Amino acid sequence: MGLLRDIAREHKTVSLVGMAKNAGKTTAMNYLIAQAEDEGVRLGVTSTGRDGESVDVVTGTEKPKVYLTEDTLVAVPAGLYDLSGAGLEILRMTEFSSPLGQVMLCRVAEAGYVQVAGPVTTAGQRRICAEMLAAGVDLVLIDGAIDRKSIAAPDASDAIILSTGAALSRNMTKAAEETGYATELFGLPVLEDAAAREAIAARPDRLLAIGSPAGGAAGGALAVPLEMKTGLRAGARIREALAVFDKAEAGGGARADKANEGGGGSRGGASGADGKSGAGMFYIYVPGALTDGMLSGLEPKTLSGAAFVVTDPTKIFLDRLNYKRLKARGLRIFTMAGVKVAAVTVNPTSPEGYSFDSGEFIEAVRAVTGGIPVIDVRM
Amino acid sequence: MLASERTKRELGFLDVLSRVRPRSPFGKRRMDNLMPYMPGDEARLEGELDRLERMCRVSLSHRQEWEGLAAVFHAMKDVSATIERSSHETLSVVELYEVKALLLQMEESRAIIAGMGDGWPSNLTPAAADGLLDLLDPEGSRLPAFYIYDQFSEKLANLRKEKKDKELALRREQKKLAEEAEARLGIKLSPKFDASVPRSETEKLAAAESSPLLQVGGEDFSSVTFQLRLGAEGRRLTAEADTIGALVEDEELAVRKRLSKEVAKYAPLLLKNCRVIGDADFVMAKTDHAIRHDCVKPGVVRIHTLRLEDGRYLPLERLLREKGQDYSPVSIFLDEGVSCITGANMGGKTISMKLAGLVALMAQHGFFVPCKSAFVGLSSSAHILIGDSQDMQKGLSSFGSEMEGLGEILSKSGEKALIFIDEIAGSTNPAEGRALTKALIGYLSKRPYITLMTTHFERVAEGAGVVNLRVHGLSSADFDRLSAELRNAGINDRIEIITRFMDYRLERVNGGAEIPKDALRIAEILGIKREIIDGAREILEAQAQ
Repeated sequence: MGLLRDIAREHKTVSLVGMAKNAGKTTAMNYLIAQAEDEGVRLGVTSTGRDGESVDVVTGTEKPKVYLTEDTLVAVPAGLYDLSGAGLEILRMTEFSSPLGQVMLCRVAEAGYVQVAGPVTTAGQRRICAEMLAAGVDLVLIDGAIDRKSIAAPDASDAIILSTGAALSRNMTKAAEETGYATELFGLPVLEDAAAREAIAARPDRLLAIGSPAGGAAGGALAVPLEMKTGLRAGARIREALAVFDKAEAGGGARADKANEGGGGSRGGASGADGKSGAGMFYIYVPGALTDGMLSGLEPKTLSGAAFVVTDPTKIFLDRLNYKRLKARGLRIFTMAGVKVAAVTVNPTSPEGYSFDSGEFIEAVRAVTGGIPVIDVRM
Repeated sequence: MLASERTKRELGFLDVLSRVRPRSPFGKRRMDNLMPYMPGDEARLEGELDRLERMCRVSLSHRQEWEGLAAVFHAMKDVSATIERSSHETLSVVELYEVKALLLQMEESRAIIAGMGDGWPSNLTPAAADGLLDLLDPEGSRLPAFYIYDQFSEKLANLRKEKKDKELALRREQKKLAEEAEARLGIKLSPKFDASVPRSETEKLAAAESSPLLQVGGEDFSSVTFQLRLGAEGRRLTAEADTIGALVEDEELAVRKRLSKEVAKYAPLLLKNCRVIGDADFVMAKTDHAIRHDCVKPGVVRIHTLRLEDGRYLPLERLLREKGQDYSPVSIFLDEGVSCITGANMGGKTISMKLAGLVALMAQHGFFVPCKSAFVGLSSSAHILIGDSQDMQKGLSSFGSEMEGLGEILSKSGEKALIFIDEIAGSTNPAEGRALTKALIGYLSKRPYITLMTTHFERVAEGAGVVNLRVHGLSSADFDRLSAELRNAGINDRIEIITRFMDYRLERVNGGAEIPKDALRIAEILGIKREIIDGAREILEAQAQ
């Protein structure tokens, strides 16, 4: 029994995602790899494309190196092969290219440090993961985005491991709460209302106002696209739509907050869609990012009149305090696809030269992450 | 035959080439260097066409092997530059891997080809390179994986083992020291042998600072990070592991040098194999194209002629197929002298002309042709004169650019030229245009060229050495049915309906027969006002009298 065994039992591919730059993702990666060796979990290791991250190919300073043990499978671009400290048997030259040459699938023949870089595209990433799993690894670890907002595609892996640390804030409570906020967003309920889902799937690129009838039967939802040339106009359109919903409610329709009563708050799932309440639901579907600006100037009364739907939790760009305030006034958000958080790793030391007490920090993070395993990567 | 890119484009040959798809980089390079067969090369061309015929039979009788071979070719990477470099440079591990992967693919190709029997031309089979493959595959696994394996050198295997032993010993030493530190100082070190001690724990801090087991790695306002300090034994092991590590690298380099030299020995054979595979791949692509488009082997004759029966202009046939329509084949027989295609508008004159050119180009580049049968006498060059929107963009008037093009063609054409001219002088005044056309025909008919032109001008195709080919057009169409169908059709449908009733075949007419007046009929069908059509007819009658 062990952390990696547990994760490998539930998931086949896991992305390591940082809470912020320097949150200790590389330390966490090395910890997880060492842990996997101790537990006898055979790993595949790859990384997502690193567009925008400056990489010094010569010194390799920015590109994290990980220590890999024998028989681990790893994605390495041809251009980095000779820089590897480990002995790598080339198993296959893939058709995926990267800025550092074609990506090769390798087996570690002699343990050592390796600079990992996988395919840039999500499709390529999925293919190489599938190949590693077919070759017999227990779990593929993807060195993912450097901060949670830049996860390119949450569907590239089955789950994520969120990497947080003292680098987030000099204030330990704040660092813990930011981490808790991120896990809360990842844990937002997935929209279950079949009628509304169908209406969104039909026009996934449009800002939509959706009225879904009681019971949420397929084909039953009425979706009205809201004209939106730019994100700046979206806020005004949302305010107008909410005002219309408010009137509709006065004329006999049920308010979404009432429909969701008994659902146990925002984590309680889309109970309004299960038909028990006997009333319909109103939704605003936001195709891109949901920002603070879009929700500014909303009346608390209208805010609770409809639930928001985003494609996935990484599209929520609301400030933590603003989210808290709006949530208290009735804001509810559903996602079309959720992101599972398999574990949270914490690094109590910041590269800026300060650290938290490891035990206290872990406790603070545990208190706000609702039962997700929390690990100190320095131990 | 020599032909400009523009001629190849206008005649549809580039379009055809874009649909011939070799799989390997070698086949693609072979196709990029495609050269035509010139007059005098008849025997070589016949050899190539015979080979293609053989390949068609192989392709049809060994479908599965054929597809398998195509897949192997598709996966190949061009490493000929690496092979060439092997004679004077040491190849990297990645390069050695690529050479090995190519060797395995060559071997796989050989096995598949062997399974296709005697039909496969022997000069399209790559040679065996087992010796080199054995060297690069010391485990004999024949898997496309590569590493500087221990089997390459006993010395390397021993050094690696020695290095690993030192590293394990170092690890044990570190663990021992870490345990000692924990027992003596009460500080538990991480797996990376470091630990952070809060400044609040002053006693522990003081003990750690004074202990020879630890050294300070970093500190901040709240804590100090300590690292394990290696003793003399640990330092010795580290130094030894580093020394052996350098020896391992030296030996790996020696192995790579040795293997690179072996690759260099095989370089001529490997490079020849790359060319053979390029040839085989390209011939396979031509075969696939011939089968897919129902092409036949053209007969090569030693006189300058071009005769095709039921030919199909492939670019148009494809467009029609996409719309669910059939292409109606056209037969054309051309000898030296001038042949003029006359006849109805919308009668496919230009397409028929292009068809003749496409068949000639395909045959002379060693392709099968889209006909029921064809005989080709080789031409030295091919030229086409046809209106081109690109010239208009350059600011030339249509007549100006046409005359410029004509001048160039006349100066470049030599013996056995093949010339295509589309509606020359159609944009200038009819009297001068007709005179110019007639004089041009007179000039060309005395030259050793095959010329095919389309024209609207009456009575220009007369005289010795001039053949008049007329499009059947709507002359034998059932007009009652045609008008019935057209009655309720929209403008787009009308064109399609006319297309269906059009007979595109060419018939040879003796003498300067009258050109059918289908233009007015078609204008009428397409809904031009009755008043205008009747007016035009009256004018024609008045002129005739």
